[in-house]
Amino acid sequence: MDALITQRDSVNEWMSRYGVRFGIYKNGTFKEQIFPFDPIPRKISAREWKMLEKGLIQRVDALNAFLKDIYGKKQIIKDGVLPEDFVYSSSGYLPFCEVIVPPKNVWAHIAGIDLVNGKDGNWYILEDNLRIPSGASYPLIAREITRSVSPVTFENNTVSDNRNYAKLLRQMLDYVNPLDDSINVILTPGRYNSAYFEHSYFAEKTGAVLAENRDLRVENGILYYLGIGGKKQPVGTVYRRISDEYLDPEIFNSDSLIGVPNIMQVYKNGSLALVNAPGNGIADDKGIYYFVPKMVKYYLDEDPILQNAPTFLPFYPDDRKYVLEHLQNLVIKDVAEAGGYGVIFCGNLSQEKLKEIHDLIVKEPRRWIAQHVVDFKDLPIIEDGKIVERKADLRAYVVTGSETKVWKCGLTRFSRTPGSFIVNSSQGGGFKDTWVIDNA
Amino acid sequence: MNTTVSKAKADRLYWLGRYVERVFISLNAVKKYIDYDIDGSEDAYKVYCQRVCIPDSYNGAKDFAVKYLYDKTNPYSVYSMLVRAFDNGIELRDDITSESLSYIHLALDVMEKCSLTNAGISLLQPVCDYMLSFWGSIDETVVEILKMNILRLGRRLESLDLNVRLLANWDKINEILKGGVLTNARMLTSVTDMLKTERLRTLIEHRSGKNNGSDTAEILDCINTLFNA
Repeated sequence: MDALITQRDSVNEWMSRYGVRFGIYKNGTFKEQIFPFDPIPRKISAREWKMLEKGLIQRVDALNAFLKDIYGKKQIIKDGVLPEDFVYSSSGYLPFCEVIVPPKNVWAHIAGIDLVNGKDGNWYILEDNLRIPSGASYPLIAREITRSVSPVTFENNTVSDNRNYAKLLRQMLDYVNPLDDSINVILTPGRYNSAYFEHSYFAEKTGAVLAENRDLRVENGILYYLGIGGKKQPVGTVYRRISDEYLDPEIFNSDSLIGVPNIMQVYKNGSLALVNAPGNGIADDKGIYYFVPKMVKYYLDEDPILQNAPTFLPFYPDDRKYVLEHLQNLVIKDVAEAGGYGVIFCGNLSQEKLKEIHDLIVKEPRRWIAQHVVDFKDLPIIEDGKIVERKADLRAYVVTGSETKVWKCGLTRFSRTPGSFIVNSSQGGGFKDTWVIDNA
Repeated sequence: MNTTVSKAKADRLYWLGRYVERVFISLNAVKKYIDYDIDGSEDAYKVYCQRVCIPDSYNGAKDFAVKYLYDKTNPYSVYSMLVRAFDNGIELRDDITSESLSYIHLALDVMEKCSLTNAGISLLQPVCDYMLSFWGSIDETVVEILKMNILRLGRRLESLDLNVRLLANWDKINEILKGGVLTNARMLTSVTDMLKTERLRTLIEHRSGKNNGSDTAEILDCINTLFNA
């Protein structure tokens, strides 16, 4: 490990050389910055990983079953497991997707599940990301670089190989592709998207074509990639890195300049797989999160292997009463926000601010969830040449094609601020590799 | 499956080829003019500006030696050329590979560092080296012939353009034409104007062996308009 730490500068030089960056808008200006990499990996034993893997597969299978149900028969509502308010009031629910069955019945092709390892030793799920989870490219390229910079580190540690992620993606993209002799495309909003590096890197690694909306057109119910000299190729799968609302200006936001007109019709008629399926936002809504363990029981008839962080829904009167009485000990999350925004640690607030939050919850109980602060483990990082401890989470990637598979790695994000629980890159966090140790 | 190339990508491939070559040739060419300044030839840079058709917005030779290299706000500076190469390359990672793109990243890092101290042109030699490495990497990693041809066409046309402007020997120019431009252009009939290509061939062959003639403007026009994605 020391060998890798001493090679830290060299690793960062290689990161810079490959343009491993993410974009951020500050005061209306786009800026690309290096995603700070810490060379000390998070280590997970094979035994612990096995448990995580089983739990993650179980959770994603349940979420896929939920999406199939909610845009179909809605049995979970009829059976009283999930109140319908949580579905129809969610911004992630898309009425257009009612009764659409995506190719091969897969909704959540790529799930990014955020977990933390509590000080009690348990892993807790903090969030499910089923729309456009990003970040897998960073540990993927970090591993490639660290292996090259410090081979001795990998000779002395039995680390599971993580270099199969592009292959997992490719197999999934091919599996759900409903058309013969067609191509896979990664649809990007363009260079000034915060995750553009990842879009282009995955295109390179999966053999998909990186395209913008101007390169695509719907004709006679088929989506085509438009080439020079009037040539065109049918597209069977679009791994879209564009939010639902911008995907098709004919169906969703008519002001969208990055979408492809009529792409949803092609999807609806079964001639196109969209990865991930539009409408998935209903399943990763922070309010729906509360019900995921219940979904596991309901759809799979199994006990959930992985637990949620203890969560309260102010929507329910009993929970609301508890939340309002214990506000100071809770974290409040706005269900409409993401990326670490809309998260309020009430313990730090003045009485005046607490009153404000109190009133907001009373006014719009559906908009909020409340959680006890999970005191998760700190991980060592290098800061100014010294090893210090910082909070870190783990985003695990679950890919569903012909079967559900968990990538044996993940993105470990850490806060660079002492004591802070906010690990998001957009808020200054860094990342480290995640090692699954084979013989442990 | 080999895929076709969209109009936007074809355009970027072409301009990537042109800008990478422009950086390389410009750095090598301008050395001579900056060198004249050592002997007090204050107007040498003006000749350079005139030949490559860029506005003389400099306050003397010393100002030129800095701003032509490093002024990011000057669209004609070498720094700006490199940024343009990067702007095109960054959108082509899946076509040209991360490996090839990394050489432009490295060149930009050198340019950025040198610009902080207005370093002498000799310290920009790694930029030229990276441009050559870029082409080496392209040869090794880009397997799709269509993309390769567009890149090479851009490179060769830029070489032709600058050599014409910088008054290279017409035999050399003829070699550049025959050694690459004609072959690449003939393989890209859907995006090249073949009439202009043939006209270019005729004009350059006619000039070969003599250094005078009044058709330079037409030659440059053919070079710069024969590609159209």
